[in-house]
Amino acid sequence: MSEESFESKQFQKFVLFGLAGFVVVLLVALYLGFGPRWYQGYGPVQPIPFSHKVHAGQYEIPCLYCHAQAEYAAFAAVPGLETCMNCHQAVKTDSPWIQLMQEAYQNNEAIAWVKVHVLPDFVHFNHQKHVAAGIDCQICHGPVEEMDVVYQWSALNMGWCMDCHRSDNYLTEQRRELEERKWAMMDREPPPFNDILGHPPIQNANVSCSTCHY
Amino acid sequence: MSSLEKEAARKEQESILTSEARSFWQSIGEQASSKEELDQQRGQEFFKLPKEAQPGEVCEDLSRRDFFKWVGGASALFATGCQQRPKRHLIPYVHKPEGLTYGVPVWFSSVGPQGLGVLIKTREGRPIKLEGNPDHELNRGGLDVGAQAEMLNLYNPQRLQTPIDVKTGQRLAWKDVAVKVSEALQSAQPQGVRILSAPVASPSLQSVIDSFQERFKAEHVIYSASDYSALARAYEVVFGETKIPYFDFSNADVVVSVDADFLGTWLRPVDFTKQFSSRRRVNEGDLNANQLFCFESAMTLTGAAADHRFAIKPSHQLYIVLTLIEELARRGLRMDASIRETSKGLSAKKLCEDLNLNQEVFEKLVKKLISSPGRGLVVAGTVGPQSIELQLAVLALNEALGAHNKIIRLNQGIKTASSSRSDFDRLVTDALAGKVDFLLIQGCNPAYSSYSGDFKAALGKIPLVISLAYELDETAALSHIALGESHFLESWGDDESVEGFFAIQQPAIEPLFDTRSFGEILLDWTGKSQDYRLFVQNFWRQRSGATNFESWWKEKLQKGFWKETKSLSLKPKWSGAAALLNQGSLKEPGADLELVTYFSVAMGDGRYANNAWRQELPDPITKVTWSNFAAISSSLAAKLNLGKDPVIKISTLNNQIELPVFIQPGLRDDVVAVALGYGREKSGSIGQAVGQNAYPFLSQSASGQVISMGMPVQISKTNKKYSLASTQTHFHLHGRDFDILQRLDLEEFKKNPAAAKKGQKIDTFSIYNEKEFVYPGNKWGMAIDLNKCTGCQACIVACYSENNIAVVGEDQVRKGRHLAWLRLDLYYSGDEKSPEVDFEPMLCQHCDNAPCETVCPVLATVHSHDGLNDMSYNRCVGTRYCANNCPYKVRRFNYFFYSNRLADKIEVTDESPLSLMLNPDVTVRSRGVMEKCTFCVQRIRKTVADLSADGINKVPDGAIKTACQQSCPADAIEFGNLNDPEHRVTKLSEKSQGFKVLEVLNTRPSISYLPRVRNKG
Repeated sequence: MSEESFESKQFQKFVLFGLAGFVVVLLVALYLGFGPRWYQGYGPVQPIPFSHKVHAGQYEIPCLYCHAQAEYAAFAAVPGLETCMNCHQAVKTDSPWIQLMQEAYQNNEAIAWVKVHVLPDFVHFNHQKHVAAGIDCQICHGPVEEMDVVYQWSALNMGWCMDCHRSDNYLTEQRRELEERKWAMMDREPPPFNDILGHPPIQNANVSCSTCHY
Repeated sequence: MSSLEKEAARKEQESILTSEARSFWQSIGEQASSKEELDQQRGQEFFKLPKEAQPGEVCEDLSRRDFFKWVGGASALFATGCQQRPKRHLIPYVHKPEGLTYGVPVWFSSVGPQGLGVLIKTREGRPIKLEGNPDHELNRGGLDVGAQAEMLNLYNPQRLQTPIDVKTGQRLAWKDVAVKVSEALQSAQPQGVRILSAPVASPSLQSVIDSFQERFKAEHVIYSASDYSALARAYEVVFGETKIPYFDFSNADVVVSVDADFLGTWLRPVDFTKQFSSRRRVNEGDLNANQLFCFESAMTLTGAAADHRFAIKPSHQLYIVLTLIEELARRGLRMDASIRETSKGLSAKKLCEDLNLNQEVFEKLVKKLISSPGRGLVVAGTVGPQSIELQLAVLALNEALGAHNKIIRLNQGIKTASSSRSDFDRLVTDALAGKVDFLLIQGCNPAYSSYSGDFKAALGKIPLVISLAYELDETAALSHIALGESHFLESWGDDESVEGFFAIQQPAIEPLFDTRSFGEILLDWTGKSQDYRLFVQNFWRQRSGATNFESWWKEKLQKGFWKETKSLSLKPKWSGAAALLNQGSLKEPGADLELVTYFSVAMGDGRYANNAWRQELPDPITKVTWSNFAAISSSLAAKLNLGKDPVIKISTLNNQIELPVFIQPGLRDDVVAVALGYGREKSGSIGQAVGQNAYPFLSQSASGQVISMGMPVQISKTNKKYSLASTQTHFHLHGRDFDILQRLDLEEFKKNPAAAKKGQKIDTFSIYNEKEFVYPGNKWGMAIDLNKCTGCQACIVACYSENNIAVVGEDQVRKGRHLAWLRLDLYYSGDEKSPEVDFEPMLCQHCDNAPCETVCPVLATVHSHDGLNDMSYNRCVGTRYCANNCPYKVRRFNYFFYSNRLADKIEVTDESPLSLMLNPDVTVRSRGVMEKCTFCVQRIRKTVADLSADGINKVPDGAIKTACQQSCPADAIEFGNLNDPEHRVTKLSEKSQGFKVLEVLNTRPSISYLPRVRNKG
């Protein structure tokens, strides 16, 4: 290409379309990469088919029995095998999965569970604060008691966080839905909403960047 | 405000900003420059593009076609790369250790190098941060650069990881080593087994060494690169006990230092800084401040902290102290007659004329010492040309001043400083004569730091040399077998660095590699192999005699410190001292050019040269990183007609090195100062070939004391050039020094604490609607007391450790890309020959009206609800507008993937042990991202969350400590809630003398500084 051709109409057009095409590709890529609901519904296969539906739903084991540290630490954490063995020393020992687990326990081998809720490294979410504020687990994690395989219920992107942190009554709405779901499970009419929410959750969440990003 | 008034205010602001009144200067060049030259320099503040600076280094010319190819390729890759994220696993413990919660740190108490009490913060079993143990009565919560940098030593992948056969480089098994050793020990000739080690401060280790010695008739020789034996010898001569006493500077009103850098590197600088700064609480209302007179050859931290500083050269030391004795005795201080004899004929007038000192100030010092009986202290360096005589004279002076038992504690000997060069010399002669069959070396590196070449030759004559070392250093490389030594965070032990002050050394992690501790291997080789924890426990079970040992042990572990001091009264005998002093009669001060070698705060004796944090830490005075240099005065430089970035040759009869020159204000014209600890030949990739080794210049006195100051040298010009990577002139003052730092004299302060404030705050217009911003809850702020800060820089390394700050390497520092979030600005004032030095810690000021926030195009930096200037890395696109608009120049930009390569020399992968060191609460910054001090927001968020979960909304004072504050041995930093009147930081910020840096810009910083108050009276 000679010197003059840089100034030709054709070349300018080429550059213009090239740039426009690049921007379109970039936008599509950005949407796919950082789109709002990319990971929602992600429920990978776990090495042992542990069912929350059986444990939390059918047998009504409280969430905090296994995820005890959600109350006083940033991470809710998955319990160690010794917690499972509290019951499974005796319960359902004929299942091959339970036997696999017992074997692992005896060999002091950990189970590598697949992480379902993954936040990027620059996000510091704190369970402790949210539990202390009176927020039910299901508000974010969804009807875990109905899930055979746990999957990501909420979007867990920043917009989703901000919906709650910015709003005055968003949480109340969420709780109302949750309560209605609970009563529906029991096939009963919910009592008046204000009666259930004897202690409405504290909502003084702030929206500073350094609340989560540092 | 009317428009006229606004205009007037603007003009006043403008005139202040462009004023030419210069009281501070940062470098000789700046001080000497004319207005025109300064204006020219201002234009050059910003660094040239790297491409211009070094063609072809960063990127070759990119053609247009190539550019489009890359853009197209990258966007295609980017689009196809969008797929389900990689599977991540959650692997819980099978049996979760008791007391462990994921994500919540577990703390252990232990004791670090030099017997500094530490608290170890561990996360999921990994130590990630060291903090000073406030319950330990020596360091009282303070730590120094060395202790903070230990974290990097632990995780350094270039440590010696297994026992190896040095010649073949083959890996050995511990049991094979033990077999070899036991054969060698059995067949050794009588007196043929020797141990050469660093000073032993651990009582249990001493007992192991004792039993090893007994079993194999071994001799134990203690070696250390630093030498305090002159001090010990002086106490032996006068009091009959060889010991290095402990100094308590908190009881001293008048301190005189003669080449003893007790705030930087002399004996126990952390303890001393703690005590010394506790007497500088002028800004808190305690007007009974101490006074420091400093005579020194090089420029050190002690000289910077001094109220009066005299520049001397090493051969003057004895002359000064003897004159002081004479002047004090003449004024009626009771001095032993035989000592008085040695100082006859001296006078302040003669001294000051001979050495060109300020006689008025010297007379003031004499008067002060006379008028503070029992409150005066003299300390002197132990490595000068006449160290024994000097120490004896100082001892006599201290005795006459009544310092013993009040300030100098004879019952608390410092064990970490005991070493003997004469024993070492005998070991070398014996080895050369073939009398040594087995040598075990631990904790020292004489092949590097001993000045004669004999040691290397001696090693060749010994049939079996075993080195227990952190890395394959010069000494280990000359031995037959090198063993990896466990870090103190990996091994059990105990500590009595200062007599009567005990602590248990508790590990926080299993050894990362196949390494063992000194005690473990000796125990093994003595044939009493057992778990070392049990051994230490049994040792204390017997020694403590506690009836309920389990609870005794637990209590000591938990508190990390206990004390059993005995009283000791000794009577001085002067006959020996007088005899020695007479022998070393005072020499006439000559005109020779003298060499001063010193341990730098950053590098110490050089054993941790492979520590990138230490290498990149600016020297406190010169701010030079990654090299040592020859510091000379500007007139000496002018005499040699040195150009820009010169390199000079320093030579003595038996050694010569070439070093870049640093022009240092406050030096005499006949002094060259060079830091030791550089020029390592065998270290890791970081420590090797950095600077030049100055140890070969050292020599030894007839009585076996190391002489590392006052050697006559010649210097000459060379044609070489070397640009030192100094951070001192990274930024330009722009003539704004009127508002940067405030300082005043104590007398002025007593009359009006706010006297240093020049003019009132300009009531100027603001582009902000200031009523809009209120902080209803907490408003975090800091107060920094410049009067307490000694400039030791422990805060900087603490910040590196806490905040995962990357090390960029020498070349990048030269380009102004140092990443430290906190720097210690140094300002000179006064004339160049005797300047005053002031330090000012400079970190993000968290301005209410932050100039950085208004210019960020993507809102990556905005204000938080509690007064923090937030920086969200993931939003930053790297325009660097914020850094350009920051008047404090505290924002740092990641030009490259610094976090992936330690100092551009060691790869940091996920598998590298270096990744284990990272604080998981702080994001690791990537390329193209701006970063800066966050006020340790991770600590704030955690503490507030913990408290609010317990229903506490009011954060108590001291509940949150930033990393720099915690580590500060001078207690110069306070942090807390400015909205809470109970918090100390609020009380300090409200002091009338408190000032904000560049207040005239109306940035309204959250950091208040308290002025430097010099006690000159």
